[in-house]
Amino acid sequence: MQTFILRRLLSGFAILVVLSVAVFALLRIVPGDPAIRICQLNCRAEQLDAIHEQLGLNKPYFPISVDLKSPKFVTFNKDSQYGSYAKGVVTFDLGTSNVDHKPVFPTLRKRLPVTLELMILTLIFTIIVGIPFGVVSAIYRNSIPDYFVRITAIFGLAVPVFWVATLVLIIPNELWSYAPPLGRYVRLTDDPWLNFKQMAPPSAVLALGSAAGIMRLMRSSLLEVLRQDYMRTARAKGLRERSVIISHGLKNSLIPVITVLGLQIAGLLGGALIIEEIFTLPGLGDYTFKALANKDFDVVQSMTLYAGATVVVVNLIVDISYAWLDPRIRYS
Amino acid sequence: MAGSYWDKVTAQRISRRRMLQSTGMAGVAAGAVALVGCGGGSDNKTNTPTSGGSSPGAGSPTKAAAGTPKSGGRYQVASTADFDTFDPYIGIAASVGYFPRLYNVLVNYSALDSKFRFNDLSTAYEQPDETTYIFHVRPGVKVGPNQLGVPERALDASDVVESYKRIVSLPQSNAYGFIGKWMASQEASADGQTYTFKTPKPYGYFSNRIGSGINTIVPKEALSDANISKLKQNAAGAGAFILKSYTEGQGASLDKNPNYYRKDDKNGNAQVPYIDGMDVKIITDRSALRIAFQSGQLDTYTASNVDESKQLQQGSNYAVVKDPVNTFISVTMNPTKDPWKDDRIRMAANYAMNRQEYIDKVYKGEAQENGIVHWPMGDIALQPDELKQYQSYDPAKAKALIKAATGQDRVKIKVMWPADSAIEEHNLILPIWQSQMNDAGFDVEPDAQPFATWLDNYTNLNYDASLSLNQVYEYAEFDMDFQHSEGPARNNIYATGVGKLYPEIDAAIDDTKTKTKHEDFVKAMHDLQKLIYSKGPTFLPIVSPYSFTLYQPRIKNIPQGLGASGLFVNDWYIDEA
Amino acid sequence: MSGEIAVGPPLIVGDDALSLQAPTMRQRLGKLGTLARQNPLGVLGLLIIILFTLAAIFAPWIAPFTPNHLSRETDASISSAHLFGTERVGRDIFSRVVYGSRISLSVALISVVGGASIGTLLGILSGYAGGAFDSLIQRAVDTAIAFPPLLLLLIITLALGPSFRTIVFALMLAVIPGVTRIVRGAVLSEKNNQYVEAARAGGAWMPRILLRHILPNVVALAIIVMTTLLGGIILAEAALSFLGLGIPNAASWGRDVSDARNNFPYHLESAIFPGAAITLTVLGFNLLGDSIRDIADPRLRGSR
Repeated sequence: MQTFILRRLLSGFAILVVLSVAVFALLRIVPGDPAIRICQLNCRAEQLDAIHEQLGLNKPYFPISVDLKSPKFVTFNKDSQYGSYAKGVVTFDLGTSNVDHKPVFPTLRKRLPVTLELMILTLIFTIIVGIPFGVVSAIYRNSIPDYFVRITAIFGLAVPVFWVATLVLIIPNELWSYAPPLGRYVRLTDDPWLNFKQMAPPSAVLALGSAAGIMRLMRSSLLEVLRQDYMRTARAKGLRERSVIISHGLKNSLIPVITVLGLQIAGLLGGALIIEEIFTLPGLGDYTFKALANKDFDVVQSMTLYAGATVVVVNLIVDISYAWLDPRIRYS
Repeated sequence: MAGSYWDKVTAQRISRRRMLQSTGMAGVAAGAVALVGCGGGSDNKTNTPTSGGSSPGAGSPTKAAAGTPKSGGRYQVASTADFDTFDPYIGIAASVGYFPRLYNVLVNYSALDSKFRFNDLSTAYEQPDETTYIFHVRPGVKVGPNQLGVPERALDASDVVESYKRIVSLPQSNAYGFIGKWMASQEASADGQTYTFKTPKPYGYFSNRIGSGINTIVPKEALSDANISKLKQNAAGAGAFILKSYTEGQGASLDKNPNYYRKDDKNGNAQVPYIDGMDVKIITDRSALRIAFQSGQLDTYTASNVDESKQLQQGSNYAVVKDPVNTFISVTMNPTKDPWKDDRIRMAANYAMNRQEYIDKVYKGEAQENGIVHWPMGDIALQPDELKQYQSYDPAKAKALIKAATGQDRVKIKVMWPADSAIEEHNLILPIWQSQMNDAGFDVEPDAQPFATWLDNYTNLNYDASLSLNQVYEYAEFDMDFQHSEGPARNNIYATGVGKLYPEIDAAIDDTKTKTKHEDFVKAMHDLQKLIYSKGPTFLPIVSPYSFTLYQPRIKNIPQGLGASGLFVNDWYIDEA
Repeated sequence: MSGEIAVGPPLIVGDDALSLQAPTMRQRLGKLGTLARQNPLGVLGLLIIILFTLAAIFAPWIAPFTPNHLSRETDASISSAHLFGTERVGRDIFSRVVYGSRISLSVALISVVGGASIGTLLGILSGYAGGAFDSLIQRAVDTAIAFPPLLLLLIITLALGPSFRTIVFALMLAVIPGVTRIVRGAVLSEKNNQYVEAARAGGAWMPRILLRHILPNVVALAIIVMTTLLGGIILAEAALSFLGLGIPNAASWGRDVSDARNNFPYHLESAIFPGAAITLTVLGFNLLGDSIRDIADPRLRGSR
């Protein structure tokens, strides 16, 4: 088990390195000079140079550069933009925003709780809606509740999040002049009810797609398990149907559900980009989104890294949870 | 020349890296505030005639007052961009609109009503000669409680000197474009009661520029090495409000300054501001802004057009303030690229535009046609009857010009614009403009770009033509400087000017700036516009609208006709009844 | 079981269900009829897709106006002249919805078919070759999966500028990793099948085994995966357009929802119809995808 975790952590680290290099390179393709955005109308050549110097924009991009035209082909750069960025990351220095000149890491820490709460609430909604309805749908297969669940799920997967989010804000406002608190995050510890009023609608909208997916998966997974031999054995032993399903069926059928929940994290982090904008939540999605539009190098890089790290860690947790759910699984 | 506007304009564009964030005119209003912000105090205004235009359409600043002002309550307002820093010389984002509340300026002019002057730190100023300005510092303008350890003392002329010195040392600052470039010398008298400012040569825009809300005066202790970096999150000033708290990405709270010098003599010398403070939320999304207003979370909201304003008023008794807005979407042509090198093609683009269609469809009738100078600038702009000679909707004329210039019936043009703009006006104007150009013989090859790319190309003149995002210029100076060969900041940024082809235009632009007498100035500006029309302008602001700002019924005493009055609330009060 | 499954596909594919027989034409038709009767929802999905496909192909004949035509009436409600009304500047919403299907369907089809083909190829090579090549591909897939897809799409469109080509390219990149993973899994399980082992023991040439036994099953799988991906890709394209990074100047449903949301006063027609068009199309693909999968493996009825 320990070696497994270690191996996965190592491969996770490798993934993050590749990811950061890829994003780093992609951002350099975006045309335009970030220095102009800093000195704006007062830009003169000397000022631009000074800013380039200050931001390290005159350094080579990567520690190793390849030039097919030069006789050396490969040059090693002691000091490179990527190198200094990577060095910073190790010490939790994620660089500085080009736009508001604030360091990224403190901002990340301030904004993280908003996104974290959004993600957790979304997962809770996904689970409390997805799993029970999936189970009901499987147990009462081909009944009215089953059809209802399936049709709801198939719609849930088809509606665009941004459309629903828009309507969820507009319609109650037009009808009853009601809107969730906008523009300032109300902390859970400050006012739990107001916090719920603020966070529940965006989480519910974001959970729509993932809950629909989980519902469908739970149903099919449970149906699959119910057909297995050991279920037949359990029934033959004279156990009641309900306890058969709960003690044997449910636990086994949860494995693929958990896998998919883990896979959904990446999608949800992406969805947070849109949801946080529409519901004006000052989280990391909102931060990333604005940084993207501004070509704010360090912010986009760090946010990608954060998203990648989240996905890697979540997947590791998912893997470990298998061992608990199905003792037959052994990691080597 | 540059500076303030420009930085602010760019800042706004930045704040609007829009996409989802549909600031639209709300953003514009926030920008205008920096310049009008200090207005407000209508009982403190002096109707001194000054140079500058009259105010078409804008009513006189009258109170919509009823009843006796009450103290207390907090004003709820939204900003469309985050605050970047409370250092007033570095701040470019939302904070700009709040600096005049936290700090002071010598004097402030309304961008819309040139007769409106608000004497703040200076009680009056005199001009012994064309390049010297002497300000008399108001006694008792006392710094409010703060966390920076700045004593609660009265400001004097030495604070002005130190503040402006700092501006001069910061070429990237907002105010540098004026103070940094137009201040030949400055001096504080020994008693600290008079302050003298000298310009290197006569400068016609002086009162406008000095009256901008960005030339803030910060107590000199706050500018010490130890404090300066703390200004990012903190403030210490003698303005009407003090900064209570700021949370990144979420907003700021301002409390009233108990030491504020102004009293309302019409109401038993009551201390202003009446409100206890204001809470500024950051709501970047336009749709969310409106929803927050309708659900009572905000006290004010700027509607995007008259129809929306009317719709919102149904069943509610919001107060509405109608103001001309210094914003426009412009067409920019690069005079160094074909086919725009040819003045006939440039004029054809001018005749191709049916400005009335934008007024009707985009602004529902509540807008006016712009010439080279946008109409809210008043008498500086060419008046409608005269303007007709130089621009009218005439697709036949446009086609004839194209035929004459190219020998062909149609001409191909490549036009760039920011693709991810959610600025409503821009998105509405775009299809209409394309359709009009097409009708007049232009084949538009669309070149939509991500905002960041577009801005870079726009700044570096790396395009054929551009339909730009909305721009906000409170002075005609910028409209004109856009026609200059070196661009508005004279640094070859945004340098799309027709002056590139005709040096005499550059000279004429510079000449208008030296006219310190209003009549001379207006005449020079009119002549300049006519000259540019004869050469084919490269920068055409299409139309400028009126804004409709709504207030919750509980807000009383709203000043009218000053533009963006929504942000300066000294005399306002809240009456829940 | 190794830990590999952790990032493996949620899709469970039977070993035998996909093997293809060679029925006669008549049998096939008969079978189709039965299939249709057994899968009314699938037929509904197919009908929806056919409807939108026809709309896309015959858009100029169906739509009364071009998508950017400005009529005099702005913010009009539903009428005989404007079936779905007109939006803020007078563009006909019905025409825009019809033309919008062109963008949605063409972007989705090209990127899914392209991405799935590349993914299938990579998956086959990776599963078949094993070793270092396999690890390389799998690590690349791991990396791609660790990337929120919308973030990837945004970065690419911002880097390369929004255009038809960029968006198709970005969406393809989003499709490839998942397909590669699924196909590789299928190849691995095929490889261990008894008949493959038997063939190998009999000295059959490996590429021949690959072609005869593995490829047909894998391609069938790839087609199923493609149908299920189409809906998601349409949503992704709509989301990009909603954020203003769709294909510029084109009638696009996502962009129209975004405009409707930003344009005041609210005009419900301009928000409802493009949004409903997205939902319907995605629904059509999802229903069809479900049915195809059900047919391929009846045990999975109703699964994801």
